[in-house]
Amino acid sequence: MAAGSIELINVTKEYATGRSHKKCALDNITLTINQGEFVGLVGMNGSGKSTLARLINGLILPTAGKVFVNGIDTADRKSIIEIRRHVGMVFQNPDNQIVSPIVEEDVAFGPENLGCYADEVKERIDWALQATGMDELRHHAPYLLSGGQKQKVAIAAALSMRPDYLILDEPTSMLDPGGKYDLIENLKMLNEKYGITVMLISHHMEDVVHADRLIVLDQGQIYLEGTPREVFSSENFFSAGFKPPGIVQLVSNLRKRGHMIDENIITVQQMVEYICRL
Amino acid sequence: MPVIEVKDLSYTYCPGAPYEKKALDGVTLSVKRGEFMGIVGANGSGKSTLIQHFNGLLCPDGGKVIICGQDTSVKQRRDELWKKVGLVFQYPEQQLFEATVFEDVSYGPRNLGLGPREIRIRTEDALKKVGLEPESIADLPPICLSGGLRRRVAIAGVLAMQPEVLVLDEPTAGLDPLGRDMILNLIKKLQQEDRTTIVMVSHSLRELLTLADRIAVLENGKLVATGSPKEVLHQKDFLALPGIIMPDYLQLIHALAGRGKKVNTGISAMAEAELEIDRLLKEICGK
Repeated sequence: MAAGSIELINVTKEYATGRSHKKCALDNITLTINQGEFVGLVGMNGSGKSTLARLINGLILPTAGKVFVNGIDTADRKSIIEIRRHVGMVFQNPDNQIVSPIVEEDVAFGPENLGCYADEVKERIDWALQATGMDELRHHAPYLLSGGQKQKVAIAAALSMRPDYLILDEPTSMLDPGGKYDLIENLKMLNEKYGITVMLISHHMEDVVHADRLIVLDQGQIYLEGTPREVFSSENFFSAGFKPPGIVQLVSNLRKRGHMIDENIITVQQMVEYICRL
Repeated sequence: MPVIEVKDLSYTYCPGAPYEKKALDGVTLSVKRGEFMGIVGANGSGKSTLIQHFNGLLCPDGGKVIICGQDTSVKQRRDELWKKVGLVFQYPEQQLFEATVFEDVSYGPRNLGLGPREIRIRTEDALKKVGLEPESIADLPPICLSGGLRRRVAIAGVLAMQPEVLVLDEPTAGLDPLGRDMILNLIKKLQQEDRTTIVMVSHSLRELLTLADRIAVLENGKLVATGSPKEVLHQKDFLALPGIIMPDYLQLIHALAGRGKKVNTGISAMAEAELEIDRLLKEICGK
């Protein structure tokens, strides 16, 4: 229960799906996320990813087991406000979480509700907008922005709470490839420069190749865990129906053709450098 | 004769208002019967606006849209248009509203005024086409199905209308890899076996490069390129368009070419990239 981490201990979450039916969304999960990490979370629809995300900031409580955020139990409802300050959430569709008609007002919503003084609110907005590259659009109306820009507003609003952890539940699924690339780069920067812990949920393996750690959920259980390279090269990863990024597939096919290519290559950049060094 | 003919189409949202936005600007495009046409472009480039013209949900401000020989701006013919063109919106599963799968899928045929026998045949047929067993799924409430299954039910609801043209707006968004493959195989099968004309909007260039016969590229409401996947890839400046990013295997080929390696950048499929790198590696090692 060290401070500076998220801990899930033997967490089970069941949903009632009828009078006598229960669906087990998470099944006895134990997991630690350390501050400063960039964690990718992947899994099929219905594998429990969103349930896991919602458990971490206390939106839902486990049926059994405990969730601790910096040592605070999420079941302790008196501390829920503090937990929400530590854990920022960004959902799939930014339209569902943007509340104000002006970008900077939306970003101000959190700190204002924390009771911050005007100076501090302004300072936090300036920082959050600058960190997400939305500074120029601060006076715009969110509904006139593109999907990618709106998603960044949602992230800025979460950042203005100065969270230790940022949890993003499939934030890229509504974005075009350009917007997606931008968003991932932005998250990497927030993680590296400001030390914000990022947990990124996605169906797209390309989104999570840069993660420090990749967790694969399957039917409510942790199915695989390791560095992206370890996960992508696991036989079990394939057999569960997942596909690694194109470059990993390419390397694996070329190895089958007899080329002794470094198995550790998972990005385009690495492959280019590898071939140019030969 | 083309099934879809778009001539110099323009459309403006909120004309005259401060937020006036020209969503389509002089688009000319045609889709042949049985063809698979892919549409790509950044968020906000006009893709969804364009396809909503295909079944008359939107009418042109300027220019013409002719579907199966009918001008979509003729209001009296609108009913017929809806039978010919099936439109599958983004996240279509959000539109499921009936208590059971059968009732939802049969909603269209029931409103066509068909007899109960015909309704049953069409509904079961549509469910089978999307790979679902009518006996096991027809009586379930859609809400208890997974996201991928719900989406297939929603597509079945459109197929039950037996449209000649199927228009899909990002049909794989938000699905897991298994769900994506299932939907893509289903769409390709509809084209190949039923000769249904397909128009599909996607952000995934990779999906369209493998599936589409032709690709149309929109930018800021203008059509900036059309052609076979290879032709479009080679169009000058295509890859510099906002919102367009190559699949990673093509990024690799282009990056290698940029570093002076002799690779053919004229490819579009992953298997071709594999052959190119295979050849390159053999060349390097042979020296």
